[in-house]
Order: sequence, then C-alpha cells, then structure tokens
Amino acid sequence: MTGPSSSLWRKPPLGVIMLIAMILLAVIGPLVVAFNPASVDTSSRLLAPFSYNRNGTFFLLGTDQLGRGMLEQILHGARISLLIGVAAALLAGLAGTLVGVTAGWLGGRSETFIMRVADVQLSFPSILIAVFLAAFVPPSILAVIAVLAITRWAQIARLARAVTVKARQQSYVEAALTLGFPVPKVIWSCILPNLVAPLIIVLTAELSLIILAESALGYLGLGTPPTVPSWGRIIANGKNYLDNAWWISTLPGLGIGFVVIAIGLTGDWMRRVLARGGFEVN
Amino acid sequence: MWSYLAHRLFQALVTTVVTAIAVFIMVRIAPGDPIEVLLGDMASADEIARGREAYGLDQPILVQLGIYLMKAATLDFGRSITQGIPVHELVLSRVGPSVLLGIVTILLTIIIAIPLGILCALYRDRPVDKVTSGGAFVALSLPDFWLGIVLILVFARQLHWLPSSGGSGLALILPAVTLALPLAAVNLRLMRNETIGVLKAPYVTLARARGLKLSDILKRHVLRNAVIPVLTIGGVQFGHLLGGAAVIESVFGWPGVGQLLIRSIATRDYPVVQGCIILMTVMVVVVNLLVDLAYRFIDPRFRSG
Repeated sequence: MTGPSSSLWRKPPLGVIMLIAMILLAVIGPLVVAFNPASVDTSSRLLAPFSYNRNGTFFLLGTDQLGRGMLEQILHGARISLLIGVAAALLAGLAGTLVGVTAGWLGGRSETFIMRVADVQLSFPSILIAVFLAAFVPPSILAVIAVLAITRWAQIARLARAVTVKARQQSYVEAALTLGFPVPKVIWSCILPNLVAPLIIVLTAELSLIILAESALGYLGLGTPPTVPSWGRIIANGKNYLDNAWWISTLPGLGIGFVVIAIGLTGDWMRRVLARGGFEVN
Repeated sequence: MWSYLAHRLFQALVTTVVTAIAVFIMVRIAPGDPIEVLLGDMASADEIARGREAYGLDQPILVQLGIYLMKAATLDFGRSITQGIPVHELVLSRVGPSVLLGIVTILLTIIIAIPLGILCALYRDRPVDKVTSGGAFVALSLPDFWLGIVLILVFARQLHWLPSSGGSGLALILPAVTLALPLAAVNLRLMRNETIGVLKAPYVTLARARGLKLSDILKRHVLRNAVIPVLTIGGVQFGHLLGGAAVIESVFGWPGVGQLLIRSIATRDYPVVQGCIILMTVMVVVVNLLVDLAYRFIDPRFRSG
C-alpha cells in the first residue's frame, strides 16, 4: 500500500486551493491595504466597483456611503471572520472533547446529566442561543468567540462521548488499566487517537456553521464592536443603500459563500483521504 | 405509551423552567441598566431609584426570581419597559405571523424537496442529480440573511414584483423562500438518499418483476417509505423556525416573535426579551413533543417502545 499521502498532491483538490487562497488574502491583504473605520471621504461616496474618484484613485470593489473602499473592508473583515471562526471552532472542539470524554469515561449519573444538557441545548436553534447570549455580553472579539463556542460544544461532546464509550470496551483499554497505567495516560494514548479522524471531519463542518453564525451576529449588530469590520456588519450597513449601491451588501456575502464552500469541499476531501487511510469516519 | 407521554411532558416542563431561570440570570448579569435607558441621560439618581422601585428591581435577586417564576407560570411577564403594554399581549400578538411564516416555509420546503429528491434518486449521478446536488451545496453555504437581501434587491428593488417588508400576504413570499431554500437543500439530500435506499428494497424489485408501472411503484411503495424521515425532519425544522427565523424576520420586517426579540434586545427591554425567549422555548418544546408523538403514531415499530 502506498498510503494516502503519495497520491494527495498529484491532483490538488479545489477546496484546499480555494481555502489557501482565502487564508493568504486574509493574512496578507490587510498588510497591503490599510483600512481606517473612522475615515470619511466625501469625494468617494457610493462608487460602483471598477470606478475612479475625482482624484483618480481606483476602487476595485467600489466604496460605501462614507467613501471607504469595499476591498479594504472585505479583506480586513476576512481576517476577523476567519480568526473568530477558527478560534471558536477550536474552543468548542476542546470543550466538547473534554466534556464528552469525561461523560463517556465516567458513565452513570454524570454521563446522563451531561448528555441531557447537550440534548436540551441541541433541541434549540443555535442561532437563537447565539443571539440570546451575545445580547448580554459587551461586544468584543473574545466575547463573540466564547458565544459561538458555547453554541456548538454539544455536537462535539456527543461525538466524543460515543467514541469514548466504544473505545472503552476494547481489550487494549482493559489491558492498559490492568497493567496499572494511570487513567489520564490511558485516555490520552488509548481513547483520544480514536477521536482524531471523526473530530477533524465534524470540526470542519462546525467551522462552516460558526462562520455563518458569526456573520449573522454581525448583521444584527451583536457581533464584533462597531470599529472592527466584519462581513455581517458590512452587509447590514449596505442594506440601507440597496437602491443606489447594490455592491455594499452583496460582495461580502459572496466572500462568506466562497469561504464556506471552500471549507465544505475541503471537508469532503479530508473525509475521503481519511477513509482511504483506513480511519473510521462515521 | 402513557408513561412515555408523562415522562416526555415532565422533560418538556423541566426544559422550560430551566430556560426561564437561565433567561432570568442572563438578564440580571447583563450590562446596561434598563431604567437608565428608559429615563434617558437627563434623569437624576432619585428618579432612577424610584423607577427601579416601580419595576421591582430593588428587591433581593432570589426574591425577584421567585416572583418572576410564579408570575411566568400565569403568563404574566410584567409590562414592556419601552411601550408600557403588558408583555404577554405584545408577545402573543406576534405568535400568529411567526407560525404562519413557519407553516408556509415548511410547505414550500416539502414542495421543493420531495419531487426533486425523487428525481435525483431516479437519475442518480446523471446531470440532473449533479446540478441539483451542487445547487443544494451552494444554498447551504450562503448566509440566509444575505440570500434574503439579494432576493429583496432582485424582486423588490429591481423588478418591483414583491414588497420587501411588511405583514401582508405578498410580503410573506420572500422571507418564506429565503428560509425554505437552505431547508429544502437539506431535505432534498435526505429524500434522495432515502429513495435510493427504498428503490433497492426487495419489495420494489418484486413490484417491478410483477410489471407494475414505475409511477405506481413510486406512489405506492417509494413515496410512502421515503417520506417518513423527511416529514420528521420537517417537524423538527418547523420547531426551529419558530425561534430560529429571528434574523430573517428582522431582514424583512416580518412582525413575528423573532423580530420583536431582536428589537427588544436592542432597546434592552428585558421583560419583553424574557417573554419572547420563554414563549419560543415553549413553542420549540411543544413542536418537538408533537413530532415525536406523531412519529410514534405513524411508524408502528415505535409504538411499543
């Protein structure tokens, strides 16, 4: 068997290319083009994409009602939205794994209680929980990350619990415990490796949902502070100018769609790679 | 069956009470004082103190919680701080539009998803299937509120076919389509996979061998069996719409509970926020319960479970 890695790079997958392109834009873009949220330039108000202002400055994606360039806003927004998305997904993954593995390992009442809480939370629409929590914390990037992580831990916990319960019954776990290895060590080296492949797949899907939820919070004005550009916030801003400036609201949405599609394609690709590598991915 | 029902009713009650307490705690620890918002910047400390007393905000927190829970049980959430109307009147007047939007959305979802799902299953891996699956993937990758804005831009601002906001029948179309597209994408995948599974079942092979027409097989065997999971999902989605449509209701100014919630959060109208969340909880819990019971009723395998 040649293993999955040898054939991976022969045909580079579209999703990964899209994702890398977007990450590069989000990391390098803001270094190249500056964006000052407080700037007002009346000579460049509501310019359409591909147009020049009176001073001859070119605006690739047009400007908003304050004369701020859309390209600048979208690139800075990309950085913030991706940063929040990845951080929230990792935090949810960490918390969910911790809670789920604990529940699955301990069993009994604590397991029932933890899983009941997860069930109750999952019976509610996650955007409602996000809106509700975000409404009561002062707007900051850290608060948004925490809120989004709270709305998504339950899915991960369910997965982690299921994997733990299954792995616990394996003879190698029993053997390790009989040999007197401490429980944390057994969990680390016998349980967690089983979780890696399914966790990668689920976290990728969660990342898409988190990025979409972050944009919705931004749209409602419940996300990042007003001085931090975020895609949702730009869309909300443009909604007041739909009659004469369609580009303000539509362009950031295309950016979100592009990222989420890229993540979705990457997730499918990773699922295939992991399955080919012999990992069990639900 | 009865003990199961009692068990589920108890669970529903616990969920509702726990949510009510969580809402209470969140509202109290939140920054921003509603009385200061209400009275404005010019209010003196004395006026603020009198305002707090009038709304019971000067009591110890546990006393407030006790009073609040007892009143909540009788649907008494006090008065809206910004509008002065009793909260239950304000919130209940929004239930109708929210339920209407939810029903129309789910009907639209089913109308799109079931025929397309069957079509994709019949022409599996052919162009129709691939294009539809691709479309579904894109529909799930776009933010729903953005989709709503694009629909407003095209159908309200450019073509002038439909209103972009309001509470009329025509104004219902755009928000319902916005909510239905991503849901239809999910259900259509499910319907496609269920149909593919049923088409492989021995009884379908037998029916084909007996020479039944494809349309009859589809009607009598495939549709009946494949539709159950899709309807179950539809029920759960309906419950979620009653709470989760808040963003779309705001985009289109649709006078539902969600729009009231978002607006009340902006004005820190705590009693209304509490009323909205608790009402949404009750609606989600009740719908989930009904879906579960209906599922057990339709599918005989679950009756003795």
